[in-house]
Amino acid sequence: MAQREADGSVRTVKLKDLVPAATNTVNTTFIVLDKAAPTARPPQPHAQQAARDGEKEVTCLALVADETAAAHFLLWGGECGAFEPGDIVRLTGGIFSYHRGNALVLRAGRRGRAEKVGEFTMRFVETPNMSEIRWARDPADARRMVQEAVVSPYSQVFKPLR
Amino acid sequence: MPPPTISPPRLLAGGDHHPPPTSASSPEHPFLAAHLLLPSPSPSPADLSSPHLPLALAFSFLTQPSPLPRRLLVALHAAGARFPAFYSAFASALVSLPFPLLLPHPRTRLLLAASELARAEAPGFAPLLASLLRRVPFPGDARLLEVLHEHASFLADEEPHLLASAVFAFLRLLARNRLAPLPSSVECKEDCEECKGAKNLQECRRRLVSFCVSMLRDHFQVCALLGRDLVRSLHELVLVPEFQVLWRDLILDRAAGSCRISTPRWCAAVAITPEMETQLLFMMNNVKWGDQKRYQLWFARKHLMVPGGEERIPDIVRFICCGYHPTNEVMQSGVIARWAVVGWLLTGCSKGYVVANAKLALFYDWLFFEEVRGSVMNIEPAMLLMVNSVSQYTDITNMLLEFLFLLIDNYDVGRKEAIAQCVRSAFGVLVKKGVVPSLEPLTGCEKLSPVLRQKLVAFLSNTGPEAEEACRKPIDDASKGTELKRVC
Repeated sequence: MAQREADGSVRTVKLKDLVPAATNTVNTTFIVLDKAAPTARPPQPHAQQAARDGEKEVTCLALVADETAAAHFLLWGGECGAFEPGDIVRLTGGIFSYHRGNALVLRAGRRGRAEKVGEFTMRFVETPNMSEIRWARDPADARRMVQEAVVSPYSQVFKPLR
Repeated sequence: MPPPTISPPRLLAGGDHHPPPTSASSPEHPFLAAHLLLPSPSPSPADLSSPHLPLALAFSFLTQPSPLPRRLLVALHAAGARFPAFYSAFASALVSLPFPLLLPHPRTRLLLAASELARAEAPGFAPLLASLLRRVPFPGDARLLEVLHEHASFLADEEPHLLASAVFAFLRLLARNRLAPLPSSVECKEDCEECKGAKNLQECRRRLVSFCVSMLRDHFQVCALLGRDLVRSLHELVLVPEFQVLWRDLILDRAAGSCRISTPRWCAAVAITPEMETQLLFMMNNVKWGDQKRYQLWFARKHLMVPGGEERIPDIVRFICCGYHPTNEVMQSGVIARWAVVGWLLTGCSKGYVVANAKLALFYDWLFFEEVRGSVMNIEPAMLLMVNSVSQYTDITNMLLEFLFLLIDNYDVGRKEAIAQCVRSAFGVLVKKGVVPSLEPLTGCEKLSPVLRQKLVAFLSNTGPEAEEACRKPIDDASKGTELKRVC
């Protein structure tokens, strides 16, 4: 669920402050820079649940960014066709976590929501890419993750345009 | 059991992945919020004095099923008569809606509201009509043309800029579509969709031509407010028979006078949509050098790689030259410069006539430049594009310089010497004002076509028969290898 401040407003983060966690509490706004071709997902254990929710078995990886950092965003089902490069998207109640083992992606998840709130008029940087960072447990606090190493300064999936 | 909830009608298109109207970030939200407070605006004193009336009435006006309930019209004019600011607030509410997302019924109603405000000569109707003019073509725009035609005499007296903008918007629409395929000559017995479409297009073109011709004949002084862009537009339409007659009867004697008037800024923005303007301004104000690639791709995909999109490029170039003059602070902030945006646009043209019109648009202010009244900012992008391309993208400099000489010789043969003088003066002022430290990067550049360079030197000095001779030399060399490369 969207995390709220004491005054009831939704707490938002910048992409550079993303830390992998298994909670759907990420509220942020970014611009979609690029989008890969959609891929059908392999059959998954919750297929029945997905069918009930009207989800299509399609996902699509996208590169998203704000003025502090970039990240990989996994578009899901209807989201794949709803967002195009250049769209400004607000994510509420999203998750930044390891998907299917090793890919670190941001996504809306089952309870989150991604909405198009604008187009074009947002500045961004393509480095660091939060999905291209290796994270490790914080030795001081096992519940937290800390940055261990930069795997790649830019996305290895979507090359920067120069 | 709770009463069944009926969801209120919608103004804007938007699926699951747009904010719902109940969310504060939806542009529909203020309208819906006002509607919920004042669901059925009536001419009662309580409703008329409600601060929510402009938005609530706009919501009802745009969404109530046909026919439009009379009480809404009565409420509109009662409030307008009682509160001087009401009409303007109502009109600005309508202008604030994102037009491309409007559903068909609200869009039709928006035109009805505009024509009702125009009929009542209500404050605020001119900005509303002006905002609609920047949207042509759109389904139902014939009504806009009718409204303007009906009120032409009133507009000529009271809102001359609006009438001039209308003439310009429709001239540009005609110019952009002039090479659209003509209806096929094969006899079609049945009214197939294609023939109907072609007939509609012909009828639409006939109405546009008739409007523009009658405005130019009846209200030339008003149309002349457009300055030299009026002449540029009419030139592009010179093959349309109605404009040929008009040109001979009316324009020929006045063209030179109109060309001395710089294009006003409001005119430069008429021929591009508000979204194009916002995005171009964002690029030229916020996007740093080196970061522009993705923005350019998005802009091209949204606005240029669509039917009729490429034909907008000359108007975009005019907007950049005359419609937006950045401050020194912006120019020194490391953002992408106007000349680079123009260079990128030129590389995006695939049709020969669009390239030619885009280059004409870029140099147009050079042809009539006068030191005392011309703005150096209008001629700056062409100069900087030539100078900054010369080392790495010499083809672009060659192509532009060659085109400039073609223009001097051929644009208006009767006024050739005057045009040459204006171009000379443009070069002079660009150096004098420090836009470029000297013309040496062009005149002394080994990479530039030798013939062009020689021609430029002779043109700038303009003395003696040798110079004349050099000016007359053909410029074949430069036309070779002008295939465009990417500027940036």
